[in-house]
Amino acid sequence: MSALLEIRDLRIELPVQHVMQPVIQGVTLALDEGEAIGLVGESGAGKSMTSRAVIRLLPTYARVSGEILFDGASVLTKRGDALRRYRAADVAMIFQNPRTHVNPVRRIGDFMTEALLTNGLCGREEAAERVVGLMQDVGIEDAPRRLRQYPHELSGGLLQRVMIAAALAVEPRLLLADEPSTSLDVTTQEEVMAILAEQRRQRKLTMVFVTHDLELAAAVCDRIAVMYAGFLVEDRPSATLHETVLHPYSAGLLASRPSPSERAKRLWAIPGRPLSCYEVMQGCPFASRCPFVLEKCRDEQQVLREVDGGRVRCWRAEELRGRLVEGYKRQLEARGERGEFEDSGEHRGIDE
Amino acid sequence: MAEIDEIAQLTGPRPLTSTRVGRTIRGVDPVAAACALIIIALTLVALLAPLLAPYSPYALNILARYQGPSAQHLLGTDSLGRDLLSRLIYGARLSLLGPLLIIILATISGTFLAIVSAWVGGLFDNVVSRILDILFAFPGIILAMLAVALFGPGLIAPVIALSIAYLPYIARVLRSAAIRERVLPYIDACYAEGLPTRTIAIRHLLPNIWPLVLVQATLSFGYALVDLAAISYLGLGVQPPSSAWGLMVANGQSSILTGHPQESIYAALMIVVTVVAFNLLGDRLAIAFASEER
Repeated sequence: MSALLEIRDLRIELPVQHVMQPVIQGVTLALDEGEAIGLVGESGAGKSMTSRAVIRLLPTYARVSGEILFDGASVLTKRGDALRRYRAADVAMIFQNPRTHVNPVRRIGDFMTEALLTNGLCGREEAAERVVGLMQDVGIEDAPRRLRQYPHELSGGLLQRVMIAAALAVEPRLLLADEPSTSLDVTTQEEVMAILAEQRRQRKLTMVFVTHDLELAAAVCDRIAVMYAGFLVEDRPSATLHETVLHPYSAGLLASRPSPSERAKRLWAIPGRPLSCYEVMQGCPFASRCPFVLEKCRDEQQVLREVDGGRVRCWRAEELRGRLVEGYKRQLEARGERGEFEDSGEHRGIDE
Repeated sequence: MAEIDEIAQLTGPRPLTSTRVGRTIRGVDPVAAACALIIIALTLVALLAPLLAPYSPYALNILARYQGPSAQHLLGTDSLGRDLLSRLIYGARLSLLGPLLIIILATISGTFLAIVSAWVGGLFDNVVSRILDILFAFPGIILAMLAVALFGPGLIAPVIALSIAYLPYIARVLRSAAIRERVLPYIDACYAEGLPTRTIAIRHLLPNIWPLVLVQATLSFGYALVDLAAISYLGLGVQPPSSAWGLMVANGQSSILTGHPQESIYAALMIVVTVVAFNLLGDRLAIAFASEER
């Protein structure tokens, strides 16, 4: 079966201080129908850029090269009506902050049915019926009243559910979820994620799920793609993520996640700060922060290659297999004892 | 099913901001409310002129020139013995219709130009902005005089000329608002839904800059009224014996020296009251919308 979404060697450049600089390089990714992939990484790793490229929401001044294929058709060359049809019926996006992504002066009902009506996907009555049904599906009670309200009358969690329902309303083939729970408060995050995961399962939707949270992504998605500094560094089935994690960066993310069962003296963090894509000169982008770094890593970056049923971009993948997380913690501990990173506050972990 | 029908009816576009405007005027601001009342009253006077005016505005009575206020003629009569109250009442029609046409024309074309220019950006935006800058250089009165010279006096020529003169004021303010609004995430979200640009501009962006449109239109109305009054004062606008306030000021001018200033004074007073009402209302609306946004 050929992939529903195929990204080939995607490279995006944006002006940074008036010079075009890459923010994403060489991202290659394929997604089968019905599969969910989690794009994970720190802020600025290029995960949102990747998902926005798929629905063509990059700023007009962005320079994009490479290829994105949806169902075999090139996305980047779509224009006019073809692009509109693609956005209307094939893909849907759930944004990070529902508050800013909903027009404040229009009612919820308008927001939810507009795409259906404008794109002629169904009639007015059917749209209303469908929307009410979906709102019940995502756990919104009293749907008819909600439809009459304005966005400011709804809580963030409720509004995000509305966004989810609106995205599902067009019955898209691909759902892009760009940190759908990040802007919500912690208790609502769980509910919203549970609803999203449940709806996806029921509808067997293909999904790209962008998040900071590796564990969350692993719980929701079939596969995890870890991005660092605009590069895809690892791509792996999430079921076996813990056992088979092969890139030191992904391992670092796993290691820095506090565990409720273990009492930790301090929170683990990857030392140093995340690089931007254009700061990577040569070698592996993670070399400056990697506890397992070799001379070779600084000179030349490994390509993304198949290892253990996944893909990884590391020279030492086979060699370090199975002992990354532990080794990571030991190395960090040793450094910590020598006082090399006293102020853990300046190191950013995975959860911001 | 009845419920579904009801919801189905809710999904069409509707003027949402009228409720906001209503709230602003009613709840908050007595000054704005007073201005709005004056404007409504003036509009009613203009619309119902034939019912309200005690005499025909054209009825001459040479024997009764320059009368002071009396039970028969509440505001007295002019140099030809015409009832001043009736002339003022009928004068409201042309005096308000002119600026109304100007504002409608200038606001529609200005808003359209502003949104298109903000949306397209780049060279187009630059060219449009420079053309607007050039238009700024011409005072409305001069343009209007030019138009009258070309097309002859009356209502239409000055109205069109002044619409063009007011267009840049409206377009410039709205353009910057539209540029600010256009990059907001909800516009992106609309694109992600596959809505056509036209729909996004009309149904999403426009309602969000609507308050500004309203403020600009209200403020410009006052200025347009003064300009038009000046035009008819100069004798380039509507021609006698039609009555318009600007014309009445000019008409009564010669009588001031003979000790009968009432015609000029009453007409000028009407102009002042109307302009002040519109400007104050515009200001108050601007303040109300700004504080609402914060």
